[in-house]
Amino acid sequence: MSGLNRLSAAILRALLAIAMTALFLMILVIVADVAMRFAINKPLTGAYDGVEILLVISVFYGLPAVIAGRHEIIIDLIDHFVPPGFVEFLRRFSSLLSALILGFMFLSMIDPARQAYLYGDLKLELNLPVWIVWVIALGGMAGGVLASILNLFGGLSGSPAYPADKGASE
Amino acid sequence: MSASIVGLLFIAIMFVLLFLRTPVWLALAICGIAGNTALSNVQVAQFMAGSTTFDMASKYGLSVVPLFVLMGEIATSSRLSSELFSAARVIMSGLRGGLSVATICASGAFGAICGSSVATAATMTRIAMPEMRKAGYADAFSAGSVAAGGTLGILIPPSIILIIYGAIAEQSIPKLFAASMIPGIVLLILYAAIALFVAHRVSGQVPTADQVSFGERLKALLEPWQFYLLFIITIGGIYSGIFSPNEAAGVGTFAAIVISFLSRRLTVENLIRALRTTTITSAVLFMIIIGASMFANFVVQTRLPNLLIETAQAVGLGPLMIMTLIIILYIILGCFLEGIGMVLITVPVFLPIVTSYGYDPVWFGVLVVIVVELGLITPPVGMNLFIIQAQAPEVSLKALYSGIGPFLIAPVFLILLLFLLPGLALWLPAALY
Amino acid sequence: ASAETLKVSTFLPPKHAFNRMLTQWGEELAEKSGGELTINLFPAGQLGPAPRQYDLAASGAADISVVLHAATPGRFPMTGLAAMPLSYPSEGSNSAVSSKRLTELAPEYLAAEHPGTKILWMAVTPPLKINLADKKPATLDDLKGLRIRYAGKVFQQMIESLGASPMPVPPGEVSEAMAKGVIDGATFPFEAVMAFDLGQVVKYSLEPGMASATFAVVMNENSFNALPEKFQKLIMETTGPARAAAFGAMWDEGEAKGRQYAVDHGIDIVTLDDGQVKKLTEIVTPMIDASINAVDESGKPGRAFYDAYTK
Ligand code: NA
Ligand code: NA
Repeated sequence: MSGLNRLSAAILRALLAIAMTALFLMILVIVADVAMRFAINKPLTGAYDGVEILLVISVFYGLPAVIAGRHEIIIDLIDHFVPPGFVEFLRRFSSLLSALILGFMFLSMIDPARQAYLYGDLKLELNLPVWIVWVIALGGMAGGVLASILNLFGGLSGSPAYPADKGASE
Repeated sequence: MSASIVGLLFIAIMFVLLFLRTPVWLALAICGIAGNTALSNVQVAQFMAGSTTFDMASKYGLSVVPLFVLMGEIATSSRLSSELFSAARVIMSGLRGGLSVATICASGAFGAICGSSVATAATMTRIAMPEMRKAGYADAFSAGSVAAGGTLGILIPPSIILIIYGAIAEQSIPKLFAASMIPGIVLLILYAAIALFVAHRVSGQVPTADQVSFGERLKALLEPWQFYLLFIITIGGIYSGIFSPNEAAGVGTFAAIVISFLSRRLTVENLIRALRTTTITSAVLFMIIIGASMFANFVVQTRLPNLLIETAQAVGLGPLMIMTLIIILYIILGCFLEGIGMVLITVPVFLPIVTSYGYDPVWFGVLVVIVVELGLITPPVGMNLFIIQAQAPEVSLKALYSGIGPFLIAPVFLILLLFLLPGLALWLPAALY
Repeated sequence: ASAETLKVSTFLPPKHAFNRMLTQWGEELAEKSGGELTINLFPAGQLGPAPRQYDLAASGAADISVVLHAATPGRFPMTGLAAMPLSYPSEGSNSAVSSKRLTELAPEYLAAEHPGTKILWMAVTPPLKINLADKKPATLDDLKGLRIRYAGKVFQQMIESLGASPMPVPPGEVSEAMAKGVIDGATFPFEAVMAFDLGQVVKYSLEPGMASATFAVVMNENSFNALPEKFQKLIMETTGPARAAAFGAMWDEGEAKGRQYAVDHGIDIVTLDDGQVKKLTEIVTPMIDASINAVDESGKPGRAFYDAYTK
């Protein structure tokens, strides 16, 4: 594995670890809020905002792993009717489409992120500027774009970070 | 070119893309973006792409998606769902096709704590598929049973779809949950009946299992005590008002983790693995939800659903015919849209029409869940079918498509029942509230 | 002349007063333009959730949208002053008066906060009341320690300053949450008490109302400028202060019906006496002043606007 490939694999691994942590924190925030209401009759301020922000992190930082591991759901009925070479061509073609669309989505997110900054949008309970959440999301999206570009050049299939499991299988 | 023609064109393009192995989220996103560009311009498409992506990933109500998926992962790791399955298996033993019925019952039971159809199907695939294969069941039949059973995850409360419907229709979620309870049980019975029918009619599908004594059956029933505990915590918590239906997903998952840890069935290593697979699975689901929302945003603007209803009303179709038309439309949409996207497009258009005919919005919520369920198992885009294939790659999509066939009758029949006996949905909420 | 169709977006449920008013307005446009200017209404957040509505119109993804200012905290500080507690035109706190006043002030004070769009009219809800399940709010002290459902920052701050806990509960769930004691009360106008059928769970409502939510109906500037002059004129003639007053009156009518519903269901409507109102004013004044000062410090005429609105 080349140095660049190793670096990319390390980045993608780190992003996934962030996403996993966010998911776990989400549970803790909900449970803490419920427990505080139940025990001391006082909600945890910012629980609602916290869950939303952690969801953003979990989704956007999980995305690169999905792209790099090719975990996306596809309909492979055509495989039975066409030669393997054509299937391989279709795979590459959708990698290209995927890179283009993810790139388009990334670019499309910059403007609303800028507006959240310019307009001074705030999260309701935490008073946290919303642009920070956008920047976080853009970070994950950039990882997704990176993964889709790597896929165009053969991907990270040999990388130990992504066993060839399919989504939730173990 | 009129908006409706553009709409039909891009629906066709999406079918072609799906057939050409384009990932489902991508096919939806491409058609959403290109469709918006065709209808308006690229700036509008950009606005929609940028904002939808962020808005869906930061929607509080959707936090239940990863939480319920994690609940499924934990239940698998800690053998909770396998206990459920073996209890059902022992109770159903001696029946020809008993394993399939057991799968459906265990799915229904798991659905009573988990609100995600996909998570229910995923959990059950890993447990029930190998058992059925070992027992000599045909793959198509086994997979059909798991896919059908999985849909019970959203009809038997709690339910992600009802949470989203409740938010759009401004209906009480606990009331919706109560309304879907009896139809959920009826659907379970219908699925089981179909499984038994298929098992008896189709030779070579299934061998007969051994008989066990009544005492053994009773003992098996008591085995999954951890599940009963989880059920009491989550459902008890919702109905006593200690936490909201949204929070129930988090509390239930947390309780599953704690119970599994205390009974030494879950290690830190397993928990981390469950978090990893959940993160990936829920990102896969979110990409589809985001793609479906982009596509929904486009379809809404073509006004195809409105046009259809307006035309139907203009030619003088009565309420019952319009309702039939709406259901047919849902079934068609369900063939290529994922549930959340479907609810987002259709409920704002149909709900006012439906209530203006005097139908109860709670009743309609139950109806929507059933058609969404049907969509989860109808080819070509059936999320439950995909999830099973992801868990059990050796089962071909073709076998899945054929195995699910007979089970499709059950939800259709349940829809009929719901029209004939609205009390099926409305009696329990009225009794409780 | 070519026919034009305007894409109108709201996040509000299909049968909400706003959707009814916009449909009515659309019919009026069609009639007066001989069917050449029509609207397509996209309700219930079909084009985007509540916090996204302003962006929809500003970016041109929709031609017109209904903006709830409280949905995007931090974005409309000047407009937000009209949503401060007990802040109403001296002429009256009903929606017809306050909506009209706010619409009249919009060109001078609020347009800058709605860049890229043209404000067609502003709407101010009838004041939201505190509705309680069990505890009679004879004095403000009775609110201390209660858990009260709120929406938006103003109510959050106000409930806290009254010594109660603000709880975010979706409107559809208020009924059960109150019945089970998850919350002790909810801030709602009477119309919502009726719409969500809270007659069984609410025993007391507190008058006067505490504060209102503000809305703007905005149109994308380029969409407006691209229209033929006669359509521009038609839109201007059918919107503005008069439309705001008519819409406000529609809301007031709903509020009156809601109040009658409350009376019919035996809800005890408690009116704070002058001493209590004075105390309430003292409690909320620092909050109002802080908000006005923050706007003034950003170089915008916050005080002038507030005084003009409450005059
Ligand atoms: Na369920
Ligand atoms: Na389907």
